[in-house]
Amino acid sequence: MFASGSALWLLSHEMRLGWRGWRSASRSRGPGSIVLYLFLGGFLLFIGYWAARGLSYATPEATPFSIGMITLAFLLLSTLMLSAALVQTTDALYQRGDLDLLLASPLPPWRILIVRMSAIAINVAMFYLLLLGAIWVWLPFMGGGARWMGLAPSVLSLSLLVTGIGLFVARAMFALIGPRNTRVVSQILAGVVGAAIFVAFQAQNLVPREDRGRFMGDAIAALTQALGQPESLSSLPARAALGEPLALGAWVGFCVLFFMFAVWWFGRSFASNAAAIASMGAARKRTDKRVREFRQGLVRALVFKEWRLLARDPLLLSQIALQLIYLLPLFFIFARDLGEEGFGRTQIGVFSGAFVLLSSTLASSLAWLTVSAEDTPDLIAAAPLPREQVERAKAMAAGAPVAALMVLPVAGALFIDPAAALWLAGGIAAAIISACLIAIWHQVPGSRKDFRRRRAQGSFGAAMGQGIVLMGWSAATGLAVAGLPLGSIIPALISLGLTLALSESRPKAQA
Amino acid sequence: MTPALTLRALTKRFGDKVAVDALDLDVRAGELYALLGPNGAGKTTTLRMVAGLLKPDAGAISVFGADALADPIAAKRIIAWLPDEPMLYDKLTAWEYLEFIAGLWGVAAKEAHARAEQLLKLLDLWDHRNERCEGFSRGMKQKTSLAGALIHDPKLLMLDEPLTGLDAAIARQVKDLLSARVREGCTIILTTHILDVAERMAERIGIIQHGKLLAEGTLAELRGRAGGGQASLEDVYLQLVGASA
Repeated sequence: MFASGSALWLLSHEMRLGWRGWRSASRSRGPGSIVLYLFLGGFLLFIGYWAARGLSYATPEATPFSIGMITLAFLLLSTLMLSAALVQTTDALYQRGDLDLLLASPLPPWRILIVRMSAIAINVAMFYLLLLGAIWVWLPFMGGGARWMGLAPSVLSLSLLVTGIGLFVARAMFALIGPRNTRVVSQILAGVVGAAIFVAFQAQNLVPREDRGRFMGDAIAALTQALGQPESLSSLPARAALGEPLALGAWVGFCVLFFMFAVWWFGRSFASNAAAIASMGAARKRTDKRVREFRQGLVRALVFKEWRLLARDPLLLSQIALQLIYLLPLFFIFARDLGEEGFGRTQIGVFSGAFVLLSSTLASSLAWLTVSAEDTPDLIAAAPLPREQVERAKAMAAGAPVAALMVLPVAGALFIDPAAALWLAGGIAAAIISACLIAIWHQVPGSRKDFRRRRAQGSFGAAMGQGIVLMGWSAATGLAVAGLPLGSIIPALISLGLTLALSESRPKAQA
Repeated sequence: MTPALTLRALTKRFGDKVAVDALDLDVRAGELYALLGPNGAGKTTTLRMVAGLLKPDAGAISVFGADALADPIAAKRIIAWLPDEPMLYDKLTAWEYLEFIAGLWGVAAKEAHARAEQLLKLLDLWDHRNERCEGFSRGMKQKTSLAGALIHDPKLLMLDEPLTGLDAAIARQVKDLLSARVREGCTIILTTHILDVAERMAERIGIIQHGKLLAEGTLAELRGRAGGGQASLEDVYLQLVGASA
């Protein structure tokens, strides 16, 4: 269809690989999945229709308020996009795949780069374009809808701009901290940026209830004052989104040019950066002359091996940090309520439930890794050990650090109310054990490198079941601590029953 | 003397394809046995069944008299399996890896420590013991994997293409180590496409095709089957495999 070796030919190759990768990662491919996708698509279009209808009644006017709000939305969107672009840019170099093959070909490196980066820009924008697209397709058919047609191209342009910025940041980080650290930092940064926005939105919870309305009003006024100046250059993306033809043209043109410039600038060092990463493994040598004594025993061997692998996984560590960050808003609420009302059983109950949920989420993530992600399954299978023993040790490796972490809140609860501490300890233990057992029963064995892809391959039913089980333990603990032990029986029974059901529904090979 | 490995009517099917077809095989204790055959002949499948990684559809496997199907744990204790792709953890150091393997096979810590030191020194990996495997070359990875296979002092060592991708110096180290192990009484079964290695190292050679044993014996016996003379193993192999194809 396209001339061999051309940019479009390469882009079609990338798209084909992406499509096949997505298809192979998708667990269900039968008629059921088609029905599910059709349903989701239809639902999205249905929501999009009503959103488009709402927009068609509104006239896009470039007022300080609308410009300020759209600029703010674009700023938030760009931080989310930037974090995704950073990870994907470094991944494009790290998860080399066919990069060596392409770079060894007579194609100019800049062409390979521009295609790969365009694919990243499309990927980064895809989610938002899907959401916007569901609205966008209806706009031409509605009276005043056509005036909002600038939204989608504005967002796509933003993704190009952000991918370009991602390239600049990636190159600067390569130069400053080296390729290995760039990857780790970009992964952590991506998570922190996403979480920071979420946490920032929760800041209002720190303000007493009666002052919250005034606080939000002041915040919006300050933001429109700073961002909503129609004559300012910073209003360009907002005016483009509002459908001003000149602004739209200027915005799209600027973003495309910036993207091209970033690709050209990054492309100058592309081959050498790729080579630096390729040789990175060999360059990491340690002249450590220690001779450490061996530890004795199977459980120790397995547990220490898993702990070492977990500790040396920066992506996992950043994910765990994120789970902790997402709990921060709860602390905001707790801190505010403490200030306003002092300690109450309800607050302690909510807090206990949250800790149970946190411990089960952490245990579930870790157990998923230790049980399912095994780089040398043949080695373990060839060892003279019953499989159950191996799985128990791996689950223990996941559960033990979480249990150790949860000693702190239990100790804290002990000071406030010994009975609450007992309930909390019981809830945490039940949640961790359930999470580990479900990880064993519904494991999806595979390489640790494919962790993210395989998570998507897990059974949807098992994931849902696990979520309900863990929430059930959380609710049961919360209710018991809040002084409603009888009320906790129902969620506890649901969790227990569902755990047993998940045991029965485990794949036959695991039974 | 109890044979190291006895296979009787061992069969494995993958769908319609018969990978191993009622295979009978005897490997004597203390010998180095080379299993040759074209790609897809069933060599690796056979070894994986012996190692307990695949369940046969029919047949019997006996390792030093122990029924490997009835009591796989007992058989695994005295077996080591080394596939063509090294089984390593990128994020563990060589020393940590050997400690882990010793733990899996239940080797006493003190004994494992001494063996690990001896093996790493023998394989020129001692100075790299605290480096993560992710930075190792292919040869270093293969040697680390071999050290892991030997840390529990197996009675039966099975190697699948152990010399693939190794440079001459490292291949020599591995061959020397294997020869030394055989002299110490270890039984070794190896599959290889490098016929020169089988010709020089193996006491007996088995040629397998379509999951069946075509021929077996010393090089002289195989030459006899192929019409005598001083033909090389390559000539004999090609003649036998070609005649059967």
